[in-house]
Amino acid sequence: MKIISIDLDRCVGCRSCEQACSMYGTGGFRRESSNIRVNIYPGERFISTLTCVQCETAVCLEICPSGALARSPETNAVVLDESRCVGCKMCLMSCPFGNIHFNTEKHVIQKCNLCDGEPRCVGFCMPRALNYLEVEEIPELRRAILDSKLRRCLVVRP
Amino acid sequence: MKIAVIGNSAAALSAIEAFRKHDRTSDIVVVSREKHPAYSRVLLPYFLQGRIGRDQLFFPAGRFAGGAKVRTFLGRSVEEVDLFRKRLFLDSGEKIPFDKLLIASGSSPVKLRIPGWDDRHIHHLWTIDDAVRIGRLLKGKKELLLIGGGAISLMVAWIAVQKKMKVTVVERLPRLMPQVLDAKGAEIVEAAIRKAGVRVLTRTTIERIERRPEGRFRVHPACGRSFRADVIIVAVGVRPNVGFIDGGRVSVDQGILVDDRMQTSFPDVYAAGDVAQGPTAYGARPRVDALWSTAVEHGAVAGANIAGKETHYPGCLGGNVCEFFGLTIGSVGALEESSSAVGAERSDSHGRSYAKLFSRGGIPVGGLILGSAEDAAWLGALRSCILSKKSPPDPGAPRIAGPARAARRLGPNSAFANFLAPPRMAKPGAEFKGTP
Repeated sequence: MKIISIDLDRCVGCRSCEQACSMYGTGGFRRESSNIRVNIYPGERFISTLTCVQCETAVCLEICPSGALARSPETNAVVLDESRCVGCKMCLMSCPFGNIHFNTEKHVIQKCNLCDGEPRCVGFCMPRALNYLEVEEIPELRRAILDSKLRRCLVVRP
Repeated sequence: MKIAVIGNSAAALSAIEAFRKHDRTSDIVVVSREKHPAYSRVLLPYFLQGRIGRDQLFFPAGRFAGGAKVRTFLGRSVEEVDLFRKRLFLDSGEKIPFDKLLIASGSSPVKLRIPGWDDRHIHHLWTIDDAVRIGRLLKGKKELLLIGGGAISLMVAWIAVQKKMKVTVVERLPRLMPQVLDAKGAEIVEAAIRKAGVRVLTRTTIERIERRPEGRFRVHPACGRSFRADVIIVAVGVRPNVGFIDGGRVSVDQGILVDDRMQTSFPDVYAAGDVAQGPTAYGARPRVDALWSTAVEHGAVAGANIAGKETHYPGCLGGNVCEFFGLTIGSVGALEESSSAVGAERSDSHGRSYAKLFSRGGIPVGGLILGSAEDAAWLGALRSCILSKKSPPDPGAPRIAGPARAARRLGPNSAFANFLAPPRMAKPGAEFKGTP
């Protein structure tokens, strides 16, 4: 089971992931049609990039009254069946991370489906902040990141 | 073990799904008053609108049941429950023995008593049969009267306006959607509705309805001029279906009282969904929360507990979202401004987007949004804040309220005010002004 891991320390806010996601999904470059969103807060010097984490107990999937959301057996992603979605927005309201978006043209929701196992956002991430990893590998990556940070802090500068 | 389930909608299905995660062998019997297989009530307005067909109302086979071996008695109602001998008596004469019982019988629309009233000519939008009938009725009709100013009523109004009908909405209280919106929100909604050509009569009750020979109606409000109507639809709330329950054995207030495991006052009897009166997450007294989202949550807790896996329910949050006249309206939690709860609001200059957060002692208890579809995402973040009883942690735009990490970095600055900023105040991408 793989998910997209985001290393916010590496993210430079280039928004390539948004463009790639939008291009793959709709063939255009509109930020609103992207499922990954980069929020940049210049005042706080902070960038937050968020995409669906494909929760194990997915509230969106449980609450969907039209049966439009289902767990994909191949990628374990929560995927949308657009023909069943009526745009009632219950999932939008229940997602604690705000990772479900609304497609105002088709009047259905849109969410990350991991591009059927080959996420485009990861492929186009220049600083390698996004990684498509097995869930078990992620703690290892986190430890490596923390290690390198500690090393930097502990170096005694002359 | 034998499990009997009364009801076949959100709470029942969610309970069966949760139960089957822990127990794959016990027998489950489902008794439902409706003769149709499980379908989704939430979708009825969309069906009426013509967006989806009738077969799309039903759940795809296997989605909820998950291969659950369930025996169904559809189109039968429960006459009596023998709690001591553990048996259900159906109107068709069957006796169903059970070890554990889940009551998820739902609710029914409240009926009005008005002189000149004939139940055959007054419609509610509650079941699939109602939706089909109303859909047929609206064809070729000109004037529609909607009694009640709630979400269902206004969604129907929107559909009727799209069908070029002349619509009148009558509400007894001073404002529309009293359970979902505050006064200012209701004002925005009312303005949008009036702009679409709908007549809105608040503080109005219907005194008399006169039936005309040509099959039309003449409606006399308590004050003001009478008007004509071809079709009358009533949506003034729902009432739990508790008629078949012995109130002496199982505690019943407005609904069946349940604890945080969805257990009633009688052992081995559980209740969930619209029929249950359960705990709230925002510190109010137990209430009937007749919403799809609450029913799903109730069911999941009840199902797990029936299977012997102890699960506790943090309380209902009353999450609701709907869309009409180009506005998305959503709310969670408690929406009363009282001496103990304060409301802080934000709106954009065009009066198109509006958000309000209610909190008690710095802890959020509820909120509402009114605006574009994407704004509803804010409520998701707010839900987790209400559940964890923490002040909103994230000083960013509500849409990104997630990473506690951001809060740690920035320290406890004016998080509250920032958290409130409704998501679409700025144009997408506008928050990026040059390189930091």
